[in-house]
Amino acid sequence: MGRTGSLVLGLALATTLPVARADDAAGADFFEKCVRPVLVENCLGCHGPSKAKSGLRVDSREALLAGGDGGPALKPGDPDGSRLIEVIRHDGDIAMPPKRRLADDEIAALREWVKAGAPWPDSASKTRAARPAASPILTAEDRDYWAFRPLHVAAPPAVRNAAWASSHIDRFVLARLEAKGLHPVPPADKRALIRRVTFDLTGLPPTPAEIDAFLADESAEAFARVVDRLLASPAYGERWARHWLDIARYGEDQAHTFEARLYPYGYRYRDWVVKAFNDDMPFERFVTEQIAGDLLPDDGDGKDDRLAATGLFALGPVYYGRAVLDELDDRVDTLTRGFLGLTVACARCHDHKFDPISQRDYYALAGIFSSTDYKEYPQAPPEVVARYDEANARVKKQTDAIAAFVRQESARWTERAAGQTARYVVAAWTLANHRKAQPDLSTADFARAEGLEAFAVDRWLKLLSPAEAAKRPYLARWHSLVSAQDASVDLSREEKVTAEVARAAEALQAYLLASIRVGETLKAQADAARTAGVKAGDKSLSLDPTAARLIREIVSADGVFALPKDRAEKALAASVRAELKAMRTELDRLKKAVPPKYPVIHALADKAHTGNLRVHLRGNPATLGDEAPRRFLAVLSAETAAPFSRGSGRLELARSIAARDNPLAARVFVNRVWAAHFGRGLVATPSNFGRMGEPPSHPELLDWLAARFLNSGGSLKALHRDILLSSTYRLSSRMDSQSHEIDPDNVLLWRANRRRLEVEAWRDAMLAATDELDATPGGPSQDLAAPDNRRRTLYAKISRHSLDGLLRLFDFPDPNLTSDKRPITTVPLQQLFVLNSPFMERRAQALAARLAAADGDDEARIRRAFVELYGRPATAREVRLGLDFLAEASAGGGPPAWHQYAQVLLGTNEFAYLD
Amino acid sequence: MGGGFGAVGLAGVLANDMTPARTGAFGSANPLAPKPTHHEPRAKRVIFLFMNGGPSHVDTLDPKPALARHAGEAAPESIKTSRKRAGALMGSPFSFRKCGESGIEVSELFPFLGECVDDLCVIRSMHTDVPNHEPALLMMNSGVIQPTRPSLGSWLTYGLGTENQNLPGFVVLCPGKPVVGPQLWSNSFLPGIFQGTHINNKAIDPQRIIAHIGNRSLAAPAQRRQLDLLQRLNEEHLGARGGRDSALEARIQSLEMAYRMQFEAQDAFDIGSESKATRGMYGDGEFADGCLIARRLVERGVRMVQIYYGNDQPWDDHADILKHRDHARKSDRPIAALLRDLKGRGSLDDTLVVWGGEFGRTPTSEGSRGRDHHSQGFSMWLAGGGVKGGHVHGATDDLGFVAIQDKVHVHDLHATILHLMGVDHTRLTYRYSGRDFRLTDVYGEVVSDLLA
Repeated sequence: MGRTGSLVLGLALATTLPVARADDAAGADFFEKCVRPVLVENCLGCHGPSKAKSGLRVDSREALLAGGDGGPALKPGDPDGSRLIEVIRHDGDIAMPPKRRLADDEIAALREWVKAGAPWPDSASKTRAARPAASPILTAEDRDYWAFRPLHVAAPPAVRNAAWASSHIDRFVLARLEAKGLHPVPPADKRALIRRVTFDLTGLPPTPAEIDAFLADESAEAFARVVDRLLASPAYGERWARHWLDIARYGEDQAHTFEARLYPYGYRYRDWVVKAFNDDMPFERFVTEQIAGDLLPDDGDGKDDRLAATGLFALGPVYYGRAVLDELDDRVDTLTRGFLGLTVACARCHDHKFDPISQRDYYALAGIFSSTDYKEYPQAPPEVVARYDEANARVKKQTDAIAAFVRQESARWTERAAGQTARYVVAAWTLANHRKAQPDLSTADFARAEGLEAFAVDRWLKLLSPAEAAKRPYLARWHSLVSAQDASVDLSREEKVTAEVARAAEALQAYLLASIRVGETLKAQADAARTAGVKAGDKSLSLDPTAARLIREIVSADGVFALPKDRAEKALAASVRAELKAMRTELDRLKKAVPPKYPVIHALADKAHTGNLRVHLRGNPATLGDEAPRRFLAVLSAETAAPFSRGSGRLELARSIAARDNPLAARVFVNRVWAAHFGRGLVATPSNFGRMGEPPSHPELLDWLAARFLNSGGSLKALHRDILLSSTYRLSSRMDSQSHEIDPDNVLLWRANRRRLEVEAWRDAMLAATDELDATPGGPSQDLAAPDNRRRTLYAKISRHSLDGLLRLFDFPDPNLTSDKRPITTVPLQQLFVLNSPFMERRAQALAARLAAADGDDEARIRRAFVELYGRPATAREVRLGLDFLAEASAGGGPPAWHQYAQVLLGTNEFAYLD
Repeated sequence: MGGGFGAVGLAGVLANDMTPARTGAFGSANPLAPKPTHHEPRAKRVIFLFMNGGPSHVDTLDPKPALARHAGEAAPESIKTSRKRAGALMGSPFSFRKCGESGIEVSELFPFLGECVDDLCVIRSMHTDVPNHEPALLMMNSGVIQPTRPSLGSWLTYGLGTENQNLPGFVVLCPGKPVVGPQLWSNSFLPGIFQGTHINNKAIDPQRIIAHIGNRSLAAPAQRRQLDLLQRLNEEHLGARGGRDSALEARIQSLEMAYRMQFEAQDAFDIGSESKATRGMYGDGEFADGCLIARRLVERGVRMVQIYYGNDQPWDDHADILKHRDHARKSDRPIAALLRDLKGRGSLDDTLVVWGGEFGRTPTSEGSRGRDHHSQGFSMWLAGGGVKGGHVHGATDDLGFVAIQDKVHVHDLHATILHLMGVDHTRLTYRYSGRDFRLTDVYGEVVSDLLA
């Protein structure tokens, strides 16, 4: 059932209402989760806007207080005095709902709610009443929610410590800090800063030369120069592509394997994303090409790239057995959470519980994707494609021919066997008689001796057994004959008996063959009548039931003489088998002649016939509601907006999302960029800007950034510069206990967050530190676990079926689902990798070799290692520790001491964390 | 009710806000530490014996004499199996006998299990949604037919943590890989640490049973020396940063745990240290070894062990149901030994053992001597922690097609397993994509008749 019905999930949860006050948020939450759904599901049909039986409505607190014919239904605070509670208990004169008692926990929840004073949040509260899908009317309040409002560009606020603020961003941040009495910590030192920004922008460590250059550059523009250099590096796109690929749930196969659609050229999309970042592709194009690259005007140049861009959806998961509705859910979910920070997939089964998103909105978007096909665009000359297609067609034709031949020969065998009916019947009877004396006599041996097929003898035995024969009119004579025989003696050598048996068998065979002939004749007559335009009347002839049953049970595809698959070929005549063998040889030859599949781009195309979906009531495809015209989300559209009309509507959808007057997409995107730089978004739920998400910590800053981003033509690199050159970004990660007391999560940004490197950056940094990194960009993905894989982790194969163990272990998201941020977990299995993996061993050996290649003694090498790995000189104590270790380890035997030492340096917290 | 677990245990520790700025969420507190339950648990750990491929219920635990009487006839018209090629009714080639004091009938396939029947709670009224392997495997393991949800074991370790930090909390044993594969023990949207640790027990070498569990070149003292240096450097690093950072400290601790895990895990998987008598009781073979390892793991505090009977889908006997004899021969003795062993050690009381496949098999043949997939009625059994012994729950119709009495859907089974583990299935939730998800989605009822 996929996600059908998932939405009411939180609702049946029987949680306790913590505080008995009618007006607080917990009360509202309890009502929405545990009370309103019960009322809507069970009561509103008869006591709501459409009907008000007994004069009672239960769709507002006032209505319940007013009650109906039976008086007030609700006494807040007094469940036992409330008529509502009395009737749902089902133990008094009136029992409601009439047909079914509510579940115990539902009754308990309603009691609890009345006891707490029956809090009923009004429409201004966080939640929304359930509305029928047919009336998606948006209120002014719906549109006035902060995320949907037009961008509000406020002037940067005044701050006391104006000297600290080097940009508008800083003034927005500092104003909030000052309001709380917080002070930013001192700035990061230059070593920490260049390490931080280099990893941030490229996912790689700075080289010692880059560090030295930065330290030596004392000009005011020193840091800006570093930022510009990094933004111009090809490694920048490789780093930032991966952020987006988490959201795009990029994968190159499927979770299932049986007949799964694979994406061997999926890397074209990954490479498109890298290039988009490196080229600083304007945001509007970034959005449009991914949604509708195939529909953009064909100006020749870059056509293939634009096709590859649609990989965002073309590479989406498809499920076992083609669960189309669940696939649409994935597309809508990825689209809306990815670009809009909205959980529109919540509205698959009913209107969104918390946000102004109707079921119509969901099906309007789903209809766009259901009007879209997955399409593979060949990347080869037409004749190559034609050769491949023709070769495959020949294989299919031959496969079909073989199947048809086997079917036909099996049918012939059955037909011939029908003419052997008497022999089989006699044989079965004989075998049964032999077994009276020899119970262990095997059918196989007996049948072989008789020149018959054992499976058919067995089936006849069963059919002719007294219990079975008695039930069949066509075996009446047989049954009376056999049941009169002595059941304890083998009669098969008594001529008189065998003659009788043979006659009965012949008679059955004659009846069978005659019935078959009559059946064929009747069928021929019926066919001829149809051709002649004669309507078969009620009295048209058909086989009598007994004959029909006989035919069905003996010669039909399920009958006694149907060749089982595993016997089909052995039972056929030698000449037929030889022919079959030749056909198979030819099939093998044809298969071998199929050339390798030509390369393709996995992309999208509009279907030839596009159309709207109808709303699936309760998410159920069997109960269809109104048609939902394909269009953009209502709350982000003008009330007069027309439905989409061009093809699937994807291009119109893309343009609606990327439109300058859509404030939400820009907010969502700049927030993701902020989150990647600071470890936390201004909105801490980057893919959920709805009411169940977190409100922004700095709403004015968010809008300022979004406006600035749009005004720059959607230049991401300009946005990076704005953010990175701020004093806020350049803070140190130093702890300040006073500030920590007030703002332990550092929401207000009084310091930089210390961060663990993502698995990609951590692995890449190791390869960089050992000078082994293969910086070749792009192209087919490679198995990350292959010992010789030294490319950036970005280029690893990403499997939905079996994600690489290293990636999974270090919090890489499941590529079956869009992911807005990675959890950060710290568990021993990860450290086993650090301590024992061949990967770490090889890196340690390479690092040791690299250091050994340079001149100098152990101390010089230790000092060099610290600079290479951590971007700073070693302290005297660290050098001492290293020298002592090397001495002890050398004395202790085992692998070279330097290998052991190098592995330690690669495994430290300092290597894995950024200040 | 009351919010102990929901409000503090999960919402507090496992809030879905795990940005580094809030390392309090995952960085400092160990997410696998044992957590309080919603109510007193009846079982502390689960062993799920997964008969992948789908064992036939009418040949194992659900005797149908009527099937033999009607053998060869077409299935009743009213039965819609949704599988295309339903052949004639086929009686079981195996005989059943009443076993134990309870007199529950068990097929001749399971002579050893028959002797344990008074510890079994046999469910003869299981049903699931789809009679195809992939969706049914996903349903049995994650509660939905698409590969988009966390598995039972992931939910359990997420909700309850695990009792031994030196071992993975959720271990999956399979000689090779079952159909579908890793998605069956996937964490999905839960953090990656809740994924099952798959161990291919085709050949058990304690040295390599868990990825990177042992060092290839360093002896223990040398590795200790290496780790000491690593920790000294980490302390230096931490000291230079004020001496307090929960994330850095967590990694330091985690390194120590990893070091200890090497020895504990190797020990846990070393069935060579078991007595001859014990080895003899379990018998030989991959599955027998798996059962013995499972016992060693649960007694060391692993939360859930799932043992797949074999590579791919061995119980899928379309061609010849007599092949069940082979699977039974390989699994019957070890399963009975596991139950007896657990009982003898007093740990069956708080260990829940679950037996079953992704579905059952048709009472009809497929025109051959085998049976097809069947989802509308099949059998499973539970034993140990908190379930009735010597009890039969539910029934299929006379021919074994449809569960008709006291039906138990997979969601109900999940709800019941969680209940036995002390967890209210409606309150074990995870906020993802703007809503709270559960193992049982919006379904599932605890089957109270199964509870002791």
